[in-house]
Amino acid sequence: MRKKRAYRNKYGMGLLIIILMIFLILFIAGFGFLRLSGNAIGDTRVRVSVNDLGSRPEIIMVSEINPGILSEGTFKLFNFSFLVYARSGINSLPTSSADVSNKVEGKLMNKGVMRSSKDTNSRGCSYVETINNYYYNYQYIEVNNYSCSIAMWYFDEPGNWVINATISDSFSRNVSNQNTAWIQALDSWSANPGSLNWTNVILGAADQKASNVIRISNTGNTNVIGIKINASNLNGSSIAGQQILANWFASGVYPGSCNGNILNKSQQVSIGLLVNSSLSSISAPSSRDLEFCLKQIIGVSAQAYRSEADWELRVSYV
Amino acid sequence: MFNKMKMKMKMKRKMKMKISMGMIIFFIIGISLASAIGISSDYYSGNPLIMHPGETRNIVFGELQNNVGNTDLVLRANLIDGREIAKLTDSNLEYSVPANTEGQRVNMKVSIPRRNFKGQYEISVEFNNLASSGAGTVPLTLTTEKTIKVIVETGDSSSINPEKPAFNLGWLLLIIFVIILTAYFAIQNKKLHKVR
Repeated sequence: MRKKRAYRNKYGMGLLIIILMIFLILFIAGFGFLRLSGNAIGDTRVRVSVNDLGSRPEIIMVSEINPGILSEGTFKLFNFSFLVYARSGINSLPTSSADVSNKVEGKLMNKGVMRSSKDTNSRGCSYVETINNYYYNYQYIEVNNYSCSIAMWYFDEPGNWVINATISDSFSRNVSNQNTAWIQALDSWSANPGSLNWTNVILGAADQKASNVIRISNTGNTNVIGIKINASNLNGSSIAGQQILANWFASGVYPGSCNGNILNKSQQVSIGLLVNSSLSSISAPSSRDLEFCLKQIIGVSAQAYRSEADWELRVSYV
Repeated sequence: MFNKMKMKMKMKRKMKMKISMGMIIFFIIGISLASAIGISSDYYSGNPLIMHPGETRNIVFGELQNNVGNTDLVLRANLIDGREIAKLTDSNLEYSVPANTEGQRVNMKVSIPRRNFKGQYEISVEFNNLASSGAGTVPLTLTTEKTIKVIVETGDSSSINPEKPAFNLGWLLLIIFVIILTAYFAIQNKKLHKVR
């Protein structure tokens, strides 16, 4: 009996150790499993379902666009490629340039804005090659590689865009697939023309506007929400000691400069000037005119004057 | 005759007026403005830099470009806000950006103190154009200031730490196991006492 009990106890301990091991495995696996799930949040690869596709072609991979950096004031071509598998045979897919231009299209889409490979300035899509032994879904298959070139403009919004690839086979069966493209913010602006002039200044007269305005253009994809001007005094070129003071000038959005903000020597004076990038177009950037006004001119002689230090125009992007 | 005299007087007065007007009409200056400055960056109001306490990261603050106009730019970068966490790491902070070029990177190191708190920092860098706008005019600098937000997130939020539920589940399993084990030994001990 004692032997039997001892055997039972031993057997029980063994069982206990097994249970302990199972629990430990579950414990560790629990951590590992959820850790994997957590990391998968950032996974941007395209998952392709192979179910219910029948004999339609299948776009098995759409590449990314990297880096998504726009060019100020103009357009830039972005390229991506995609692989197509046709169960009904690779010959059903377009390869000639005429066929491809009709049956293949690439698009970039974001919040209702679409840029297509068929737009002006884009370079369209083209057949690159046929890959005979492409390993996909546990088998070697024959796929066609296509590449598309799309023009993106300087004012296209930053953030995630959807890349969409579409192809039609010889039986007019359409398929498409997607990936995402990250487009960077582009803070860019310009100020034109290159000079600011007062051609007819009358001594003692008030509110004399500059002969021309300065056009502030938004050549990027973020908004210009204001401009700061750091002015300096102007010195007489022939009679020393005579100055036109910085605080005799005012600036504002055209045509209200004379009621605008008074400038100050070596101080940044803010002018509210919204130049919205969403108002830019292919033909012209969004722009506003900045005007300058000489509010007063007293106690100086008629002569040429020159700034004693640089005037600074500053735009802040947040 | 009198009228003629009057007319001559008037003409003379007008001439004098014209001369005196000529004296007070003058050109002030031409203020030249430089071409555009472009900074491309991953970080903007819609995409702040997310970091955690104690974390250090090397980032590309921005890439400079000069695609508008035909003037070469020399831009000097100056960190004006966020010195407590950020440092510009390029050896030369004067960046030469020739006309119609882009891709000049501005590198930065960001280090968040090892303190367990949520918060927000701002890093601002100004880019002054050092290139002269030309002779015969007043030089004028064009400056672009870019600010990026750094959001510090701690590990206690389930939204940024999806491992938290796993930790709880694991501990729950361990507690259940310890209870079962204790109960098992208690029963075994009772049995042994009964036998003795």
